[in-house]
Amino acid sequence: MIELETAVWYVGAAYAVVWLLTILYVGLLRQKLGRLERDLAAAEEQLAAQAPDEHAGAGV
Amino acid sequence: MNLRSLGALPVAIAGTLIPFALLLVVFWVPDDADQGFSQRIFYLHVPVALVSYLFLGLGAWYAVRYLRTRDPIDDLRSYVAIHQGVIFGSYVLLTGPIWAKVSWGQWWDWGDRQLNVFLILFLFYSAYFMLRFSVDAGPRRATLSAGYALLGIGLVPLSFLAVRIAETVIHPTPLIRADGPQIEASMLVTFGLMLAGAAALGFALFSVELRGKLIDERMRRLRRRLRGEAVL
Amino acid sequence: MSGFWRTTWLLARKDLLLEARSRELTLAMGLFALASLVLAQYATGAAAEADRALLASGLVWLVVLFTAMLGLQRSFAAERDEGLFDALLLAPLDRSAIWAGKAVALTALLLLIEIVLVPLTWLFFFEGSTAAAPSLVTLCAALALANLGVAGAGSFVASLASAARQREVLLPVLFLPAVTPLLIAGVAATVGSAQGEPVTQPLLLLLVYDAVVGVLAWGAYDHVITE
Repeated sequence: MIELETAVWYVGAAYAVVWLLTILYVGLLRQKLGRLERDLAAAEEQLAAQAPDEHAGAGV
Repeated sequence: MNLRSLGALPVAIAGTLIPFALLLVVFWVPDDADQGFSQRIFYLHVPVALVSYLFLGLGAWYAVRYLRTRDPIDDLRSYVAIHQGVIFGSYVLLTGPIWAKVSWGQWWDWGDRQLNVFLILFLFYSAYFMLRFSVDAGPRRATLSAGYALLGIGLVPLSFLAVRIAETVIHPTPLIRADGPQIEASMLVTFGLMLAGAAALGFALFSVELRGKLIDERMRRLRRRLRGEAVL
Repeated sequence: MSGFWRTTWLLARKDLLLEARSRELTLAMGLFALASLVLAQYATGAAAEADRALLASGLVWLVVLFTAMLGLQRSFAAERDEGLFDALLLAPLDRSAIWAGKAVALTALLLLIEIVLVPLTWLFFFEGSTAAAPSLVTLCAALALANLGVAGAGSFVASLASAARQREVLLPVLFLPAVTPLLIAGVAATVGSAQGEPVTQPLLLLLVYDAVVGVLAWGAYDHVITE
């Protein structure tokens, strides 16, 4: 049987690995959401820019 | 990222159960008679394995649903579920060797049934993602993915059985295993809590990723509309 | 249901007749299997005699899988490229029979290859060796059962791959994990027979695999392959 100190290290490493990867995954998700928010803002701008043209065209 | 979008309930459950269970793992549960302190990886390794199976099963379920309903959201649900299943599966493949090293002194153990099964499943579902990336988004991709996920329904139990049967016939170099240690009540409780916590975490991540994918899809359609193109 | 079997037989017959005339696929698969076996021989040359015998029990299965993969690639590529697949899909027949027909044809080809491969494995690895050899009956039974599973799973997966980009590269990736249980059980049966262990369980698993994958593929094919 391995001595307690090494065992603690390994057990801790196992839990730490899973924890870190989960954090990493959450970070990636946040990044993606940020990108979506930016895209959404850009789309809203584009829509606002288009709207005046649409009104102009509707009368034709 | 507001709390609502996180699917608050699973997060709350995970947020309470996991830290609590971790405290139990560190301070409350007794040492295993055979393996000593290192056996505590069990409280992580097995729950993530079960959660992985759960999500892979869910993925197959949504795949079948997609083939019936042809609702693209079912396809997304299937994809995200399988994604979670693979993520948790990779946790199994990472914690397994660590456990093997500390328990038996070697980084890989071909006699460990779970490791073998997850290796096969990891390969299989990685292929799932490759398939998805080889087809453009649309009903065809969804259908093909569902078809492959359907094959997975059979593959999971078959892999498990194959590994198990091979064990009894071929006798790999036996590492003396304490299969089925004396489970005390405290171990069972802690295990149950970790399992519930891990499952809740999985669901939390599942719902976030799914929402992300759905918003992605809406963005795509919005952008196409703005460009004046027809929306698929 | 009888329409299904009849169509299956007709489609399989079509493939096999075409193959009988040109023989190009059989030759290619046969040469590939032979070359792989020779390579396997050289690859394990340094191992001790008893070990090589055990290795052979596993390697022969690997060769069968890779040969099957080759057959699948060719079999499906030809139909896709010439638009025959689309024609078949338009025809008023039970679509699952397309899958079954391909599977039956491939099974036949594999059996043909194995008739040559098994004796050669003996020649290369077990002839003149004192190591325990697997039972010929067990190996043949296991291969016969596994062929069905390999062809069934393979035809299903190949149909999926052929609808995607990079289908030649995708097929191995999709195929190999799916047939891993077959290899595991097959090797277990082969090695087990060499060591005097009872092999009913692995053989049974091969049968179960065939049944499970057969039902899944048969049920899903129509819903999954739509173009």
